[in-house]
This record gives sequence, structure tokens and C-alpha cells, in this order.
Amino acid sequence: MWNYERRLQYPVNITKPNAKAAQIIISQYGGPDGEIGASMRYLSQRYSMENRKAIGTLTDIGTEELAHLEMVATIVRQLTKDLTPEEIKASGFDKYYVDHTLAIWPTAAAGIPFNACEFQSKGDTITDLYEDMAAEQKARTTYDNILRLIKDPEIADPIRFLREREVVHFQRFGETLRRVQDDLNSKNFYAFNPQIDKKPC
Amino acid sequence: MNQDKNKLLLYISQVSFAIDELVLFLDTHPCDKDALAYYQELKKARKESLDEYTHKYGPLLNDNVDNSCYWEWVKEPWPWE
Repeated sequence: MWNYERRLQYPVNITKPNAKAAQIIISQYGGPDGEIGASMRYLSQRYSMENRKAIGTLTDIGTEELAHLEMVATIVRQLTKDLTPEEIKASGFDKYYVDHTLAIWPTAAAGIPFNACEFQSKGDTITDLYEDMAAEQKARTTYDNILRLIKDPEIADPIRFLREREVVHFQRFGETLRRVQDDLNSKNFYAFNPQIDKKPC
Repeated sequence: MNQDKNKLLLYISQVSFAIDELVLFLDTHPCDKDALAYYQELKKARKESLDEYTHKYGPLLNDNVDNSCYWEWVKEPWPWE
């Protein structure tokens, strides 16, 4: 069960349209390392995890990612809502506009639609936690790339907040992995996770 | 939005974010006494500020709608507007 709060996790107040920036930032909505993939990954992986702390971390981070999805959508919306037809044509936003007008739709910057194949839910706690740590680093790199391309402080400020959350989540998933490994048999040198076969290690 | 409303919403966002951050820390540090005490403090601050906001400006959560004449949830602007 989830509750909705009518507020953003961190404020977004963009006053000038910028279709080029919107086309780049939308990748963090529906791109390969975007927030929708992050949330679906963590919320899907929870059910087969046997470690209670890992389930808590996945639930809470998966929920926070939904708030990030709303922030990214808000950034794109505020960057595009006042565009003129001339600006849409000149910026190259026309290719998105023809199918979606000024609506928000999950896609990567290069036009590849969101697809569940961008994340895994493998049923192996260690495999899944390694994927989660990699995912946070990949999203952090994408935000770094956005910050290299966009200098407007109105846009960069919420992007910096989102980037920082990737760093914190990487840290928490790292701690979660360490705790899961602490619970494995000490002779299990290769951190083989026996959650399916229950073989003695 | 007027200044006071913005200020209170910003305070709610700050105190709620502190809770978001602390909850993740507690997920991996469930025995940390300082963090547990801080959680109680923040929880109280969030409740008080949410109550004040709801009373003055309208509901941020749909279970805080407190009006028998009109469903206020659909009256206030959404966060991206």
C-alpha cells in the first residue's frame, strides 16, 4: 500500500523553457538507468529476498525512486510546457512532439522506449544486490553527464540533489550486501547464495 | 503561492527528507540509539508541521481532507504546476 503526498521530495522551480535540456533529462524518466527502472527493479526484487533488512532497504529505496520519477517528470514538464512551435522544430523536440505532444512518456534520450529488460529480478539475493549497486552508479554517471551538458542553475540544482541520492543509495545497498554476506557460512568463500537449493556450503 | 505557505511547505519537505534519509540509515543500522532518538524527534516535527499546513492551506495527504462540503484534494495545485 502506498500513500501519495502532494509535494516534491525536493523543490523544482524552472521558469524558462528549454527543449534541448528536456530531451536529455527525459532519459532519467524512462531511459536504461532512469528512475522508473530503478523503482521497478527494487520493488520487484523484494519478494524473493530472504533477508528482512534487505527487503526494508528495497522497499524504502524503491518508494523514494517513485518520488524521483515525479521530480524528473516535473523538470521535463516545466522545461516544455511553454514551448512555441518554432522552438519545438528548431530544437529537434518535434520527433517526440509528433507522438506525445507535451505529455510525459517514458523513453531514453535517443528515443528507445522504456522496457523491463533494462533491469533484472533474479531471485538470488547477492546477484540482485550487486545489480542494485551497479544501477545506482550508472544512474549517478547519467546525472554527472547531464550536469556536464546543462549549466542553468534552475535545472542543475534539483539534478544535483538526484545525483546525491544515487550516492547515498549505493552506500546503503553496499551495507545491505555486507550484512547479507555476514549471514553466510564463513566457509562460503565465493559468496555463493544458497537460497534456492539450500545446499550446505 | 504566498511566502508563508512556501516557507511551511519547504520546512515540511526538509523534515520529511531528513526522515527519508534516516529511515534508510536505520534499515541498515537498526540498533543505533542516536538515530532512533532522532527519528522520534523528526516524526513529531513532521506531524506538527503537516497538521499546521493542512489546517491553513489544505491537505498534502488525501486522508487529511477535512471538509464535508467539498473534496479539497482536487482543489489545490499539483506539485508540477
